Amino acid sequence: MIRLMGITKYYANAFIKTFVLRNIDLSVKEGEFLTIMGPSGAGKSTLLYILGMLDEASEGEYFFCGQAVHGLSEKKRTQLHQQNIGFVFQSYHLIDELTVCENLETPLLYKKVKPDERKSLVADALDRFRIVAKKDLFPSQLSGGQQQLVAVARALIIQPKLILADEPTGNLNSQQGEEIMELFRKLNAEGTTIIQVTHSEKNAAYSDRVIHLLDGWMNNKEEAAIPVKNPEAGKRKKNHSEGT
Amino acid sequence: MMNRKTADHANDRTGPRSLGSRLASLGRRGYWQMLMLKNTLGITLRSLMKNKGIFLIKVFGLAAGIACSMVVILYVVNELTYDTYHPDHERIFRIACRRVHDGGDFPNASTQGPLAAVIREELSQAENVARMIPPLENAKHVLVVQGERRFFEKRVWFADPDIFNILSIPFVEGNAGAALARPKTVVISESTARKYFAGLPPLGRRLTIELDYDTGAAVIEDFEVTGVVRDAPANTHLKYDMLLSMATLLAYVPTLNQDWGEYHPKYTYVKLRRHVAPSAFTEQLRPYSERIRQAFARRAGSAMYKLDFSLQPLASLHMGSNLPDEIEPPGNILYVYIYSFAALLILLIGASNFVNLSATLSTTRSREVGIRKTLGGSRGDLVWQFLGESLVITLFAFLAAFAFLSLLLRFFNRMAGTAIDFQALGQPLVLAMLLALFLLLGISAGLYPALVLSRFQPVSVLKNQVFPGMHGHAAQRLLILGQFAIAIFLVVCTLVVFRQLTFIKGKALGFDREQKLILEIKSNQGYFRRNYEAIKSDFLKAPGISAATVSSTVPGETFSGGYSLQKGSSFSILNSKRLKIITVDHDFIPTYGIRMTAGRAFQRASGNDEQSAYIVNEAGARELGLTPERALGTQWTAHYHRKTKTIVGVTADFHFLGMKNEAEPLILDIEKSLLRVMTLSLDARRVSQALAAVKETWRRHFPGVPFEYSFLDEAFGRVYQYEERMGRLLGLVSGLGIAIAFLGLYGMIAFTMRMRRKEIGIRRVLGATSAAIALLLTRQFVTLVFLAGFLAVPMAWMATTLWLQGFAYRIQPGFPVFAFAFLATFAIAMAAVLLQALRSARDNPVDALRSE
Repeated sequence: MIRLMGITKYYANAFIKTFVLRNIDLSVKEGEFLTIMGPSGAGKSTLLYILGMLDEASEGEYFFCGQAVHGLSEKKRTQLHQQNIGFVFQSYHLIDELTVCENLETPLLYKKVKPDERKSLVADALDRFRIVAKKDLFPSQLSGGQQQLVAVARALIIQPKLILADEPTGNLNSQQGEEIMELFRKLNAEGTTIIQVTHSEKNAAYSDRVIHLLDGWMNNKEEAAIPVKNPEAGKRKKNHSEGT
Repeated sequence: MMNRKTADHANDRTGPRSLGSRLASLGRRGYWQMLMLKNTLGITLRSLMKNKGIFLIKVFGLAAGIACSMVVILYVVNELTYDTYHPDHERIFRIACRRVHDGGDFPNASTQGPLAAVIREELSQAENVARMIPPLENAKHVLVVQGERRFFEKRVWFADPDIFNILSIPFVEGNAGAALARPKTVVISESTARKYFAGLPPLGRRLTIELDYDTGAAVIEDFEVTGVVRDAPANTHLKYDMLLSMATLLAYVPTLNQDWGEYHPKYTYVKLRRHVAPSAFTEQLRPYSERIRQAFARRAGSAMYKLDFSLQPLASLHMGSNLPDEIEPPGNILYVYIYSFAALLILLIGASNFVNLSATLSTTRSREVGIRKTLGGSRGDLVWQFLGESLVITLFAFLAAFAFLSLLLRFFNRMAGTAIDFQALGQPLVLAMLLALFLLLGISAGLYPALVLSRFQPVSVLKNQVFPGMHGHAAQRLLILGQFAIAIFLVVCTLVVFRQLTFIKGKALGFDREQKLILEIKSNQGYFRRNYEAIKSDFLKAPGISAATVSSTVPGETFSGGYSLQKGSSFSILNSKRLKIITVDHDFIPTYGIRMTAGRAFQRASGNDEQSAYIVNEAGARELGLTPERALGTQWTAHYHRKTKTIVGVTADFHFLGMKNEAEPLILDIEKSLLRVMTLSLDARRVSQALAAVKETWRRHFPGVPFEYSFLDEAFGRVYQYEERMGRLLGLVSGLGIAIAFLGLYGMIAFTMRMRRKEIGIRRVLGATSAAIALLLTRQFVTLVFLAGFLAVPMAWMATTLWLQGFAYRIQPGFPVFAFAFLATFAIAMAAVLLQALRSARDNPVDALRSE
């Protein structure tokens, strides 16, 4: 589903290039649950944003479902992104001035979903995440866990093939965090590909595969040390790394 | 409304797709924009509520600008659409004539009486021709009586019935074809009908009208109302309340259709047939003008060299024609420019305020932009969102402006002496202008946030890498600079106008205008002229009246009458000199306290001054080519009455029309035929007693004529009315301008402070003093206001110098005016900055840091 080849990201000023990512090669299969780990400043989030098409690599190639993302115009890229990718952030990033319901609606508007279909999708999401009662509240009226729940619901409402999560439980207490992670597990089981960035070993345990970033370099050696949820996934991953 | 539109678009979508893909995609775009708008409208309103203060400032500033522009648009449209509402106005002309003879070159807005008949009978190129003739002697105040109701009417005309075939004067009752066919019939306007008949059907009823047309004495007759027409609109040069049949006048003046030599104003309107060029028609008139020239020469016994008729297009009269005897004072394109410019400046201040605050506020939206982009919003979507928002706010401002409008319009009408109403708002031209204004403002205010914000990279925004720094974007600094430059410019102009007014008002006028009561004899003038000495002495018997005089004019009135004078005892118009005439009695010079430079004033004791003496002013002596001393004893013959009289005195110059211009060359003559005003000197301590007695005396001499009086002071005040209007307008505009600029700056700084709260907190922790922080925050704005001053002062200097050129006596606006204007504006700007800076400097830094 995703293939990164030689992805490098740097910020240049007149005198020096600051490298954030160096020569990343990575493949992600459809249905995989991948974790990106690493210390602060390792380039995790940047990699995630590049995967999410919100940022562009300085060098290298990125194929998404066979399409060369690095060659697409901004408009095409936005289209590809709005059809396929949902984001979840550490600080939820709900729009403060919109109600829960309106927040859920926003991606559908950008995706140009028809009104009646939109309404039913929003209703489904409210139902599924059991937040019907909260639909007219504003984000500031919700607890952190509830906000993240809305954020996940919003990410899922376009029925994305891929969910990108940047420290999704970072601002939550452990119980709320667990709930969110369970939710991810369930979604993954239903076939959604998930890539998360996290510091937490506990969260990483939910995934099929972990990659580590350090100073922009990807280090796959530790992969074996990570407990693997099921052998199937492990095999898939192995094949996969052979492929790269 | 939103829902309905959405539904319309939905229908478009399900409709046939064969409309062309481009159109379809445009429709789709609009459809999605509508859906988006619903989503973003919520955001707009909620984020406005978060920043209510700034929102109010934004909307207030813009609304003030828009309301001013609307008023000025209405005014300009009114001025520029004069008489364009008549169907086929391109084919309608007024005929003006120009006579050149020994006495000089005399263009005039009116023509001779017989011209219309000649055109009607002999020139087939004219489809219709008709005359409008004011009742001469009492043109401005015709006494009309109906039962208990008696009023002076100002807009009364004798009209040929064909005028209804030329101008658009729609009948409400009666029949245009027959209304003015018989003598003693009158057609009145709707409001006049209400005034006299108060709801009763006016047709067939009678009005008693006093007329005074060259018949020696006033004639009082009953007229039958044969028609009611719509009121004349504000934008016609020919306003009317009563149209009397021409047949009536013909009965008084039987030579009306034959006499070419008589010059009381008679306005001739002609409608040409289709496809007739005005020049071709003028060409056809030429042989007639030759015939008239010869007839005149025979009658007047002097040579007339030239007589020209010219056609003035109807719609051009108001702005384009400034001949003697114009019906209305012509429009002044200068005021159209000045008012438009003033409105433009206010609009500019309001709009830049709007743009500036929108840009400032929009920085709080960067996070939202980032989120929307991660949710799949494209740059285009976001550009549309911000434009849409800005249009919504502009719409608010328009609604607020409409609320302001009636107040402002009333104020403007009073100030500018106009009678503009809302009706003009419905005109397509005005609507189009308002729509253009709406889009222009909405888009220009939304454009900056739309373009800048939509370009944000979501990653950097969401990671908080971008500090949407409000340290003042270059464009915003420029806007503030512009606002304050305009404000300073306006303040300088206002100050200069007021100082100039004070200056000319304070200058000695050369006559005494305190405690003078003016009685204008509007009715029964013949009686007055025959008996003025007796009437005067009756008024002098009233308690508190110390002096009385009669004259043809009083200070503050514009008058154009003049004498053509020939040296010696015979009159030939060759080599004549023209001086403006004031006819007076023996007491005029002492009553008005006019000083003599040479010779003596009129004296009863000298026996025969009425028949033998002239007095001129110094300017008059100069005009005659003489020094005051040498003018004494010279003999002159006036064309007007063919009398030869001797100059017995020269007065110092006096300024009856104020100090705008140099004193005019004048001649004073004791001549009954033009007397029409009486001046009474009052004892200030017994005003009310005197007034009561004067009224009693008036009743005795002019029974049935309303007693109307004015004080010279007030009437004279009107000579500066244009300047005062402009001063007041500038005062209003600069006050508004400064208020908006101040509020804008205040709002922007308040916001900046909020954004920089953390930075200020850190500086405080690091040991900065309150003063240091206030300085840090104000430095930039100080520089801006200084720069604005440097820009504005030279421009204001140029503009005011240009304006002052129009005055014979003027101030030299010097350093103090400019310095004062600059400092005043500067102080106001600083107040806005310092208020905020001190407050934020006093904040507890710990709170600021903890809030992050």
